[in-house]
Order: sequence, then structure tokens, then C-alpha cells
Amino acid sequence: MQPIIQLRNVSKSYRGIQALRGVDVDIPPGVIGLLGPNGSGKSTLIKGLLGLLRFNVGSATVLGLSLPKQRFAIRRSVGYLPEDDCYIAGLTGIESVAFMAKLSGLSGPEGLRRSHEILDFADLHEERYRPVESYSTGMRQKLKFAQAMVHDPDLLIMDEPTTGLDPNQRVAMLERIRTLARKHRKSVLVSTHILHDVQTTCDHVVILTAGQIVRVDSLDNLSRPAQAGWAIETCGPADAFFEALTDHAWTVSRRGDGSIWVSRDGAESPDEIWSLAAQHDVAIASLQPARNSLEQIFFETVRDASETPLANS
Amino acid sequence: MSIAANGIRLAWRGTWLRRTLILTSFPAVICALSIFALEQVEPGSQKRFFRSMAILSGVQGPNRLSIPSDYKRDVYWPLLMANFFRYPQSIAMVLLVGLIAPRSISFDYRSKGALLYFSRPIGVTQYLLGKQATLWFYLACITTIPALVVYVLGLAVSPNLSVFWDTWDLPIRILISSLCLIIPTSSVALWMSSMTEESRYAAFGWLAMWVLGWVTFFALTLVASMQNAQSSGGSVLSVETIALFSPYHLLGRIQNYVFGVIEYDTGISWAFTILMIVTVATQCMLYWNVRSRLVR
Repeated sequence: MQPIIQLRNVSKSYRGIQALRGVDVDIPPGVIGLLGPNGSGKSTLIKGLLGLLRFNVGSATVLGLSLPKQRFAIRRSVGYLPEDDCYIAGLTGIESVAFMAKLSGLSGPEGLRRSHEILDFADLHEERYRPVESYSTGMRQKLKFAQAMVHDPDLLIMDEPTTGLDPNQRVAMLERIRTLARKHRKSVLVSTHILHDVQTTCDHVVILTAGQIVRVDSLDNLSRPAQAGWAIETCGPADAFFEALTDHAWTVSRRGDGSIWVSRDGAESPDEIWSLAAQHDVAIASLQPARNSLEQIFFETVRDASETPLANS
Repeated sequence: MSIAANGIRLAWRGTWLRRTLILTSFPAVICALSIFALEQVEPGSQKRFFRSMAILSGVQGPNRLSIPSDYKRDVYWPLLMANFFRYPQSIAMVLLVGLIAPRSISFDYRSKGALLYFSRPIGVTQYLLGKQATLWFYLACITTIPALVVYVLGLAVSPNLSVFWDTWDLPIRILISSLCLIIPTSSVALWMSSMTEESRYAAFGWLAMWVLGWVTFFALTLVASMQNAQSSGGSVLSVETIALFSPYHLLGRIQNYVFGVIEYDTGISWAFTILMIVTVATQCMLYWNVRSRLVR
């Protein structure tokens, strides 16, 4: 599968800060979560991908187009939803989106038609005729989404797309991202701090720490524990049950998030767990294949990266 | 083009801008009526009318315009146009630019709209051209377009065809004079707007520049006249030199020269040089200010 973004030994420093250090990564198509602590270089990377700033060293391509030479062609094929609350003062919602369509090269009537379509998709109805200054945070987020999508880009880069949204709107925004990826075959790069959003939406995860890519993998691979096992929730005390599991060569461990994992080499089905629970009169509230949580993966990765001396330093 | 069209549409929504545009059309009507009247009145009256106009234009000293005894269109029409540009339209320009330019870039900073522009396939140069074209359009609406309309009407109402041969160079003079007025002023005004997120600071800076220029001009003129009165050798400060300290008077001298109202002197070279330096310097700083915002 052709990667949508290829970075080769990319570095960027400005104002005495080394924002990116020898970043080398191939990002596959799909929905990709870009994770990293504050100041890890996510915004610099995104601005670099849009050609808004030039990398000091290294080469980069986006959708097969090279930076910085083809930055305008890249911007024609990429939609960008910025984190900041940005708008063109004095315009209504529909005018803002139509204006962005024009700036992207669409003709007036075509841009207006696309603007209405995408505002319907973004769930911004009669509000589109109001000045953007009067919009709530949620409306502005929807407007930014519409502006980013109006020229029908192949890749959408979203910086904190669910910030300021209430739970319903957040779910709707994540659903829109999924629809774009599954139904319209768009690639979406989502930079966010909300790990749950990534877990529920993304196919791949890229973790950036201190300007370096420390992990790139599919969410499936990352979530799969080293040893197959099951996460158990019981109703009431079940100490005798867990002792019995240990006696039957199962490893029982309590995870950081409070869940209990049981695993055993070569175990392929949880039948024995069910029968032992029945023998000890324990009611099992939930039993499902154990998966590493993204939170756990993220914290472990960031911790490991901070303990490892940086290659360039 | 899209940025300019959007800027023009947004600016047009301002009530004060529309009022200013309506007000600034009156001088053009007066100018047109003057040309019509000149073509009709007695030759003696024409000369008196234009002598007072020449004094108004600040035409004096070695550059004194010789007013011909008979009516000469190649002298009178440019003088009329120079006055049209110099007095009502230059002042209107200060107001009009003060209404549009300060918010033009500073609003984009404040609302972070610049990021929306530059995530599209446009560069800093195109962005700035679009912003400047908005100002050029409105400034052309109060200077170039009415002046050309007046000229065409003048041709239309004149009694014979000789008028065309007498005044064929006037449209060229109008265009050059418009360029001298529009490009430097829009460049300075946008540079001020690019320095701050608060458009009121840019508006204050813009108006202060003109007011300080006027005050300096009048103060230096007063000093020069006092020196003239005290010593027989006269003042070292000539009107040509003093005009270099006031943007309004500097532009006025250039326009008078372009319309052929005053003859060439070293002060004109200095005025052109200052105008060029200011335009190039503010364009460079404007570009730099906007470019540096991108990496923030």
C-alpha cells in the first residue's frame, strides 16, 4: 500500500528549539492518530506537511508530491482543520466555506454548491447564514471541518477536531471522520490528546515524543497483548476463583486501570475460565479478549522514550 | 483575485465607507461642471478663475505657472485635474484608507484567519496582492475612475474636436498620478496593519502620520517665513525642502509635477526618491511581518 506521507530524516529547528529530529516514517492510508505530549513537535510536523514552514534537513512527500517544491499542489489535495479558533471576520458561515472553495481553485457556482453540501454533512443548517463571529465553539469546529473538506481533498489533517465539542457533537464528529474514511475512502490524520477518540476512530497510530517518531503501528497490533488472555469482571468477591485459576496454570494479573487479566501459554478459548467460575459460584459480569488500552501504550511509549537518550543529542 | 473580491465585498458592508464614497463623488461633479463652464464662458473670466486656482495649487517661486491670456486647454485641464487630485481626493484617500486598511491584515491576525488563507494553494505574495488590490480598487474609485469619467465627459461636451489634440496626454497623467498616490499609500497603510492585532493602533498610526506631516509642514513654513523676515539672504528652508517632511505635501508636489503644473526641480527628484524608498521598504517589511507570523 502506497504511503500517504513519507518523511526521510526530517529535522526542523527554529528559535533555538529542535522541534523535529531525524523523523523517518511512512504513514499508510486510512485514519491515523498522531499522538504526542505537548511540545513534542506535532504542530511543527503538520505545518511542515502543509509547506507552511520548511524542514531544515531531509525530504518529505505527501500523497506522492514532494515538499517544498509542490506545496501548492499538496494544499490542493489536502484539507486542514486547524486547532486554533480561526475564521475570516465579517463573513457568514456559507460565505466562509465558499471563499475557502474559491481559494482552493473551485469556480464560484461550483464552490457554493460544494459549500452547501459539506455544511449539510457537517450538520450546520440555518446557522450557515449567520456571521461566524456569533458562532459557538461547536459551530466553529463544524465550520472549520466544512472549510477543510469543501475542495474534496484526498487527505484531511485535523488538529484537535473534537476540542470544545459537547459529548453528542464529539460522537458526531468522530462518526463523520469514520464515514469519510470508510465510505468516501479519504485518509485522515488526526492529531489529538483525547486517546479515546483515537482508539474508537483510528486504524494506525503514530506517537511523537521530543521531535522523534517513537512508534508507528496499526491499532490492532498495538492493542494485542504479548500473551493472549482475557479481561474479567466479576460480581462480588472472587478470591477463591482467582486462586483456582492460578492453580490451573493461569497467570492472573491486576492492570493499572483496575481490570483483571488472566492468561496462559497456548490458551485459545476461555472455556476453562467459565467452568472454574461455575465451580466457585462466581458470577462473571464480563469476559472479553484482553486488549492493551491506548492510554497504557501511550504512557509506556512516552516513558520509555524519555528514559532512552536521544539519538541526536 | 478571490482575496481582492472578498476584501472589496467585506469593505463595502461598512456604512461609513459607502458614505465616504458618495461624498467623494461630489468633487468630481464640480470638476466636470467647471470644465463645462470653462468651455462656455468669456476668455477674460477663464483667466481670473485659473489664476486663483494656480495660487491654490501652491504653484509659486521659479515654478510659477504662466497663465496664458487666451484659454488653453492643455494648461487649464491638467490644472483642474491636479487640484481635483490634490485637495478633495487626497484628503478623501486618507479617510478611505483609514477605514479599510487598518483592519485588513490585523483582523486576520486576531481571528487567526491567516492560517486559513495559507493552508490553501496561495503564497504570501498572492495574499498581499489581494489585500492591496482591495485598497487599489477603492482608491481608483475616488481618483482614477472619476478623473477619467470627467475627462471623457469633457471631451463629449466640448464644442470642437481640437479638444482631443489639446488634452490627449491627460489620461496618461491621470494614470501616473493615480499610481503615485495609490501604491505608496496602500503599502504604508497595510504595513501598519501588519504590525499589530489591534486595528485601532494601525488606524491611529495612519492618521497620526498625516497629521504630524501637516504640523511639521506648517511649523517649518512658519520658521522659514520668520527667517525670511529677519535676514536679507532668505531662509535655508525652501518650500520644496519643507514639502519633503509632509507626506501630503510631498504627494501634492509629485502630482503637480505629473500634471505639468510645476516644472522639474531637485525637490521633485527627492520627492520621487523618498516615495520609492518608502514604498519598497514598507513592501519588504509587510512581506516579512506576514511571513514571520506563519511560523508562530
